[in-house]
Amino acid sequence: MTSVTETATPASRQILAKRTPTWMRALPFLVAIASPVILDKISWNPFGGWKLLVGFLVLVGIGWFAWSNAEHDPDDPRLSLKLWHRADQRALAAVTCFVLMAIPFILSTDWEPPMDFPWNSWFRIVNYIILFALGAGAFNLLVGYTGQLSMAHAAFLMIGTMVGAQVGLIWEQSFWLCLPVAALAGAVLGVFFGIPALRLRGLYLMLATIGVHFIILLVWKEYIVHQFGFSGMRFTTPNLPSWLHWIPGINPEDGEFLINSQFRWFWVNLGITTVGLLFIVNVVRSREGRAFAAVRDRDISATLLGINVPRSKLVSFALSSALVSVSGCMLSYYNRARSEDSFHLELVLDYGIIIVVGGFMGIQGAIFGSIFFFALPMYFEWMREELPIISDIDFFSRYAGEIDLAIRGILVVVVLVWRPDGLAGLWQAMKKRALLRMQAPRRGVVQ
Amino acid sequence: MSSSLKIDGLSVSYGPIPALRNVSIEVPEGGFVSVLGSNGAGKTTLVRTITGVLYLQKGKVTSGSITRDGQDMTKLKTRKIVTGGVAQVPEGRMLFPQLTVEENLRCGAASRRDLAGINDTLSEVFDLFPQLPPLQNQLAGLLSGGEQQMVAVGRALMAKPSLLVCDELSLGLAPLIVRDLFLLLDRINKEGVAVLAIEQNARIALQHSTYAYALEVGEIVLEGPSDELRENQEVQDLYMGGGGDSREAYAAIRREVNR
Repeated sequence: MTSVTETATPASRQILAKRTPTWMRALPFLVAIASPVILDKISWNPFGGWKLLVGFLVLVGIGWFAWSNAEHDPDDPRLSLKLWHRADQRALAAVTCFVLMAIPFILSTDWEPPMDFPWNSWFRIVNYIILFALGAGAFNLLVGYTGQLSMAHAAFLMIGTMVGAQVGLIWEQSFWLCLPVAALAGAVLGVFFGIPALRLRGLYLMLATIGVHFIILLVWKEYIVHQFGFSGMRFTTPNLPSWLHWIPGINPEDGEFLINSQFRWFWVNLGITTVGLLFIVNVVRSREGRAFAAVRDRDISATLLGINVPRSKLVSFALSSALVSVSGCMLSYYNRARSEDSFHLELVLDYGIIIVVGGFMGIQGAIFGSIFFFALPMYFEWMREELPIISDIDFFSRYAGEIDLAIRGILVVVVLVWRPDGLAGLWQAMKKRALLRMQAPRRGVVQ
Repeated sequence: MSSSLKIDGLSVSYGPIPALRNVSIEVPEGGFVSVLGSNGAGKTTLVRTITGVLYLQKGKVTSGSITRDGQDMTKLKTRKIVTGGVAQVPEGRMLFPQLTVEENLRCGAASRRDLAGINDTLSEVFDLFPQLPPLQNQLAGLLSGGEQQMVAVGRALMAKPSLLVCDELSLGLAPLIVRDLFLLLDRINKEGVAVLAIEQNARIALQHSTYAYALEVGEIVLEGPSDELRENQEVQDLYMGGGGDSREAYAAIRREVNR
């Protein structure tokens, strides 16, 4: 088919937006990324009166700048392939960037919130959220995008941990080498254990992958008993390679910079999770990712379009298990100790809850779901201990764990009934509404 | 005249059950050929054989060949066939309901790797179907039947085919929309894409195609230029609902065919 008609491009599809130089569009992101250095220099405590206001103004300024300098043409088909092409997406990305940069500084202040809100223990929660967001995103790539229901992901956490232990503890290599090796091992084994998916689907595939979990569990137990004995693994503290010591804010004590505090782990986790999640987002937007979705929706139709369905399934398995292995390796180093029964089958259910509550479509689901999953129990614990009436009820503190699980279960049901597309869907709907409200008066003026 | 697709003495069976017997069809380069047939005539089997997905239903080609550019297609994988320029509009549209219209269209270009070319084809498809650009970011599952069929045709065109196989384009659509779709097929055909329309709706198919075959219980019972077939009493009785005595005529023809 050559060009079908000779009609000119309709006016609606010509690029209308003004062109802004690239550096101006990158500026808010650069400012946001540079902010920790500035924060570090002025030892920033946002709760010192006027500083909170200044921080908020900077936040709004960065968002506004990103908003007003975004190029946006809703009808250009090429633009929809770009990441963060709309003004609101760019503004939110810049704001998120700034907030993420500020979180560790805010959390490491010695501020005392009212009612003994457990300020410092939130650091641990934030780190877990970040680490689980990577694993849940990878799980979502396989389950949500490709539609392959797999229960083997706790097994891939074990594989990542075993690789980390073998390379880092037994061969005494650097932590940074463990990660790519874990990814490679995860990918290879992912392809191998993904082979059942070529013939099975749905619940049958789920049962087959439960089998995979127990096979690897056996290997894991053998490995840990033979190599480390019954006390389990104790991971060493990773240190930053010396060629990275030029980074501002890093002052090596006696020649090495150990990742030994929540504050330092935050940057490592954030960096690797960001890279991993951006990778998933890009895969999903690519030809390969559309093939995943096509296989999920109708695999016969996908075959008819020339998509290699078995290959798509295996690639999805490989990418997903590689990223989960990396997150497993990082979780183990972050946790420092691993024993025989550290990885049970319910871990997959945790990931399942995260992506179901967060929303299947998109990577936002994994992030929102992780926040839900880790922040809520923490919040409940605080409520049980500090809130006046609730803390008096003995029943709540006696059955703390069970009540947490029950509330979490009820909230899962509520979210699913109320918003089947999860928290991410709720967020999208809220954003759409706010945007419509913002644009409504302007539309009246222009037209 | 060279042919875009040549099916020669094709027989297909699902296990012991024969589905096609000695079917010979030829689609000339840039031609518009329709294959008519009622339910169970073997239309879907024919399409499956052309696009190489017969194995999904455990069907087998027992004899005959499908040649294209001098190459036998019966042994080829589907993705090789698509890369070779045969695109299919599947029966019942078979869109990806949870993908947007644009993503559906881009899925159609899964066999291509040149991003710039894909973008150009996307613009062409949007020009061909002016209804689609406003729906670009809608989920395909939420569209009306006619719009879905347009997306399905557009998706097939995204592969830049030289032969478009349309399976039951008229299925479940209003007559006006069917007419529009066939007018579009005419336009696509004028651009040099050969069209093979497999249809139950003989009236519209014969109006637009240049040559037609009638498939009945796995065999070609009639063939000829569409104009002639349109005048043919048998065809009128069988597929278009003839005059007052159509029921007896139909029964007679069925007896004839089944004998």
